[in-house]
Amino acid sequence: MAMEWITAIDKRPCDRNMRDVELIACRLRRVEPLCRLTNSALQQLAMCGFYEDLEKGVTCRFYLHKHSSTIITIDVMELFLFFLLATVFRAGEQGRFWYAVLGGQLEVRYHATADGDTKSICNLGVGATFGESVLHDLPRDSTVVTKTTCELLRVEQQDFRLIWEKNKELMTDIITNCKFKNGFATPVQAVALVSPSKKQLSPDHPNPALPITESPSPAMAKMGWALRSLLLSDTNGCLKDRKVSGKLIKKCAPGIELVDWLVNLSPVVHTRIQATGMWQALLEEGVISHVAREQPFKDKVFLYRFRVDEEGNASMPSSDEVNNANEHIKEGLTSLLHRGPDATLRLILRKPSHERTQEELELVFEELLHIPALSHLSTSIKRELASIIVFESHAQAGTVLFNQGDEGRSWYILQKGSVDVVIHGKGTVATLKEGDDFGKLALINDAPRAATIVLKENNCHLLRVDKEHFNRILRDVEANTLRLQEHGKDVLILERVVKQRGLTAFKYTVMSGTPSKMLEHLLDTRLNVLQVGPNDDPFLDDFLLTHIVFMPIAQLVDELASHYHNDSEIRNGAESPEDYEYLLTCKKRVVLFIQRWVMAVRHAVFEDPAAAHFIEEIATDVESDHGLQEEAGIIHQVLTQMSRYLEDRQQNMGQKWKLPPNGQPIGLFSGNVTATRTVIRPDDDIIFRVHCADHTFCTLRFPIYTTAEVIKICAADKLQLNRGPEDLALVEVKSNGERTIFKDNDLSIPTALTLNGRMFVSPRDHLDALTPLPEQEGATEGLEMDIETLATKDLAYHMTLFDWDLFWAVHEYELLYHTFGRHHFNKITSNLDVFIRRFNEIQYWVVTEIISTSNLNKRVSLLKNCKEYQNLNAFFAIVMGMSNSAVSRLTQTWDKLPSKFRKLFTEFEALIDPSRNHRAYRMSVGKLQPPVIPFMPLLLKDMTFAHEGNKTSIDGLVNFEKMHMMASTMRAVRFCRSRHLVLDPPSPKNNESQIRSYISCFRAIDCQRTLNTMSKKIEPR
Amino acid sequence: MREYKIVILGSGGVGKSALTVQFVQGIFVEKYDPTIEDSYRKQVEVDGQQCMLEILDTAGTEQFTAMRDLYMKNGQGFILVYSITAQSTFNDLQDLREQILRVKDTDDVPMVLVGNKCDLEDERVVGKELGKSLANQFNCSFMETSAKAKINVNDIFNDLVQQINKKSPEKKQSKKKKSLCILL
Repeated sequence: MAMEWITAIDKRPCDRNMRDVELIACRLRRVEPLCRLTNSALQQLAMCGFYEDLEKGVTCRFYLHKHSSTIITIDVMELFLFFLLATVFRAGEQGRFWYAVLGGQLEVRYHATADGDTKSICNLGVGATFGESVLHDLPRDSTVVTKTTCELLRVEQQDFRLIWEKNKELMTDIITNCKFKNGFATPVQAVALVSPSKKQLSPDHPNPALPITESPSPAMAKMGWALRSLLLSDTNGCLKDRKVSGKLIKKCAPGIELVDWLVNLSPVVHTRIQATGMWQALLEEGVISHVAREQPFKDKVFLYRFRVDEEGNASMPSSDEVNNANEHIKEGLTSLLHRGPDATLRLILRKPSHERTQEELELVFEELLHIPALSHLSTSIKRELASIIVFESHAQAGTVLFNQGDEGRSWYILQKGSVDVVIHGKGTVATLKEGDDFGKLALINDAPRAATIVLKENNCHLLRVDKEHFNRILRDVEANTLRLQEHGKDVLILERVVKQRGLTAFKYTVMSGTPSKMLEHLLDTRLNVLQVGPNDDPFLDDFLLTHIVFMPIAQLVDELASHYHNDSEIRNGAESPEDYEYLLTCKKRVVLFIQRWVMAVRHAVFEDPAAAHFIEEIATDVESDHGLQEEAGIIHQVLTQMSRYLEDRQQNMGQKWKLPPNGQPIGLFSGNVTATRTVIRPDDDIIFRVHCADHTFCTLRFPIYTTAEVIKICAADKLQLNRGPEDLALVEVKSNGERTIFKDNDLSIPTALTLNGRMFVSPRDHLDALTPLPEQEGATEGLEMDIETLATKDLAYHMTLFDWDLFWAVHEYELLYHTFGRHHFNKITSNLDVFIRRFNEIQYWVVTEIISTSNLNKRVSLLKNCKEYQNLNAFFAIVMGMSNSAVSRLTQTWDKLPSKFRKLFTEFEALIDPSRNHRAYRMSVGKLQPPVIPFMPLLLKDMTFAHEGNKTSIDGLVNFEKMHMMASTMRAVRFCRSRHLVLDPPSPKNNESQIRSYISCFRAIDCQRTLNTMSKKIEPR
Repeated sequence: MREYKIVILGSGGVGKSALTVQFVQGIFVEKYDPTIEDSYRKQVEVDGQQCMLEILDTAGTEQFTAMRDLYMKNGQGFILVYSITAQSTFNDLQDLREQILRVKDTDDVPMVLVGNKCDLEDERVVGKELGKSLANQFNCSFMETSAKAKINVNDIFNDLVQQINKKSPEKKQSKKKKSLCILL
């Protein structure tokens, strides 16, 4: 096995197959820092690299060779015979190769003077690389000689250059690091012989020579005592006082003899490997140790002694004791034997990766096969893990492995013992047991630790994968789904994001979760106090736009408050500086959340009394806290916005709207046409009529939020229908006779009527008797005006201004209310309703006007102007009006139209072609810059299908993917009006007010039957 | 591959969108993103021929009669959906059919009448016979379906494609010849 890779690398590069490359790459991967390279870079190295196995003192200039590796190796040997003291390469000569040390040591010599004097600069160990000057065709600046038998990887100049180009950053990092380590950074400091012993790659490098417990367990201590007793009583025993480097060490023995002795002691011990394992089991509990505490137990000549002999005054065992010991050995030896393999494994797992032999890696690999936390990973990944996974043990319960808020540096698998997962303000949220893993989240998201891990038992054993390896091996291959559990249930599921260039700083996004865990995750990871500038992760925005679906404002406010007042539990006790810092951060995040919340949904926050109250409360607290000065500024801004909103609200309080009896648009009762349009609010009043079957009616005035039930009962009472409320229905009768029944809990009814629809109240069993009012089939009332006297540009200009105001009044939330059903939220959708009505109004106005006159070209050019103003909603309304069957059948009119206009119209019609999910429209709107008035029907369709096609909750968790989709559509609306509409008036004020009132109230017939009849009249077939 | 545009019509709440999503998405995909180009397209095999179906569904836009008209104008086959649990949705179809014939300007339009929500037998108010007789009157096929229980969903579309094929068989290579003529 161990030699396989050498066979592979000895092949010519062109003869190597994938398996060979993988074998070689596998070997390279075990060398720090090469393992930090990407897989593809390693494979490239494996593909073109050559292997050099050099004796001590070599000696050659094989950079001159250009042949295949085998030949070179032979040449090397030959050359070795000739020049015993040559150099691997020599300064001053052009470097042709790049080398990486895979094994052994080399010495770097520097030519201090021209006459050949060299100075030793430093030694190169495993993982060192040299020969980078190939990159710049520079002469070598030093000479390298092998000090021991060396294994080198050699890469030709042109190959290396290619790999370098592709992996510049990593390679540079590795090489500079290496130079630094080797003391190369400034060649002048050539005297610095020893590499600076900086840089612990992982938090703590376990040392296999040290015990893993504070004191031996009773069983092991007893076993140690028994073995020592027997060893000492044995006349041929190997425990002797020995002199090492002039120092006397009492009662010690070389490993090799201890193994001999143990193998001979009992027939249960069959092999030397078993015996070695058993001694290591004793060593890892501190019963024995290497005399200098530098070695784990090895079947070699290193000296070991018992702990009790370290002080040197332990007594010799009495014969009774020896007998006892004999007894004990009989019972205890088997259990020690069983401990052997695990101890050996732990020994391997505590070695640095490059010291692990192929056989050892195989052992680790087999062990990894049994770990449930890794079961989903492929074999090749487990093989990679085998070389870098590290064993870590902690003796004391209560030890904190890491703290919430720390930087995440490792991923852990719990092998033995248990740990508590503690979150500030929540206490222990979970206890993890053997086989569980933790710590992934912070690694993949580069986020701070989301919880503190506290050991629950003494002597916990952990397997650890450090961040750099995790990123290299697991981040790119993991199944990409991450589940967080609390109290045995999933609370948050994250999935990896395919990283787009320059987008999403976060590698994982929320797929689903419980509302409160999502909020917690958001506060912890998405509201980085230190981060300035825009946050491009949509999670926060998605949450703010859609939380009303799964987390009502009242609940959100409660949760925020408890995050903010996280400190109440600690207040009384002593507060450590870290705690204080942490709590302050919590508060800062809540303030930031409020700021983003108000930015995202604006006045919807202030409208909610609970939210407004909460903000005021927080503001008071923030202002009194010295640690939150910056936040005080933020919250002050929010308060200013809030008071501005309340002022505005006060000013427009008690607005009265009316639904005119003749199908005119909904408008302010006061009839102030010139005032800019204001938002319709739930507690505004609206005046409207309710009819009954005989077409008598009553006029009612109610707040917009009034439910259908209340309207129904009140209207029935006024119209003297003597039926109980359960027998009655509130119905809309459309101009074509279609009837729609309103649910009792529905609200904002009057604004939801169709253009020329009327509200009726009727007994449920007499619904069939409801017929439209005669005037419904006719036109809605509008200004009579000869549109031929108007300039199309003026018309389009004023229409766009008017529509913009309507569009502006629609809150993104109304799309959600509309899609899920406004009664679920108890919220009105009146502003959206009015905007929808407007679309129909324009469409039918076009039809009505055309079949009332027949001036087609005027409308074609009107069309063109709407598009220029990016009023796509009106644009489509007009195009669709023109393609209405009542219009499109007017072949004679169309024929008379100049071909220029007809062509233009065909172009426009292509834009509304619904093929491929309205591809044409989506493409063209995608190119537009705001301000845009979008084509509302399609946005509503997207919302509907996002809703219908995806579940709101999956397994009890909020399906956040769905929320993301819906939020994307809502963002589209927001984007459209992210810039204010500013238009230059087209012409000097030509009867401006007249046009304004004309376009604000079009005359339109919305009964298709009537339209068709009229159409037939003007152009009989 | 021949493309077919299928229009789904019916009052709000009859389960049109559920039929569409069920048909396009099938059972394997968890996520349905309505804004991508293929959200409403599906390839099926009918009578050994591969066909690309594009569903024009008015769900969510019921308030805009113009969208309905637009889809009618573009569609080749029509699915008229009512809910067997709501009489009014059944009654509304007469008007819709008239509108289709008017837009298409012909009496022979490939069409399937669909009584949806047949899993809710307990709440049934529109009898199966009633549906059949309306289909007779419309001179079209009839099926009761359930998008929820996945009953007959694919069958509607198969039937409709067959109707369209029967009415207007695919013209072969006529286009090519034409362009050649122009060149000559």
